[in-house]
Amino acid sequence: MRNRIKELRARENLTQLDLAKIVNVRRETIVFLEKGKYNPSLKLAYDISRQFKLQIEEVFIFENKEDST
Amino acid sequence: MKKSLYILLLLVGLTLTFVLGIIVYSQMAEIQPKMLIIYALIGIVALISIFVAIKKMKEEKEGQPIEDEFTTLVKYKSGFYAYLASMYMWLFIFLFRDISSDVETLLGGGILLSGVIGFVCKFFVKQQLNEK
Repeated sequence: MRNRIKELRARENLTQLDLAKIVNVRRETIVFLEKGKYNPSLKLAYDISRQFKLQIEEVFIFENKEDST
Repeated sequence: MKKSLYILLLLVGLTLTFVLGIIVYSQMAEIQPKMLIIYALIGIVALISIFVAIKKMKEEKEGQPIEDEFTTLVKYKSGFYAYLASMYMWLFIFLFRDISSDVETLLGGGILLSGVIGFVCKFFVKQQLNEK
């Protein structure tokens, strides 16, 4: 699963710390999310998407290997 | 904030007392090489703990939560691996117990190694959280 957090964050001029404070997680969590090293819970995915005024599937893109073949 | 500060003060106090104890002891008797290894291990664990405590205090000052879903997941996963690795470590200590006849050294070394294993597991779990 990949996500557009970095891109959306840059668009809204938010730092990792700002976003972390808004969605009430540690900055480290945002770092790992952006690197794609961590898949968030549904609640965190919802909170982040709501912050950017987008749907969850617009921020988090699930890539199924079977779909691409 | 207060909790992090107390933990940091306690860690610094313990480390300073330990260093002072070694200095006093080294003047009274010669320190054996195997004891030096254990002292070095204690030093590493203490330094890492102080570093982590300072980092947490700084982050708390910035308004970040102490714990969230990511840190909880890392804690549980690394705890499981550290538990497994520690079991093997104690087995090896038991198998090679003839290396040192001093039970206290073996037990102390084992406990310290458990701490080091914990840090190592946490590091590797963070690196490979989503990798298959």
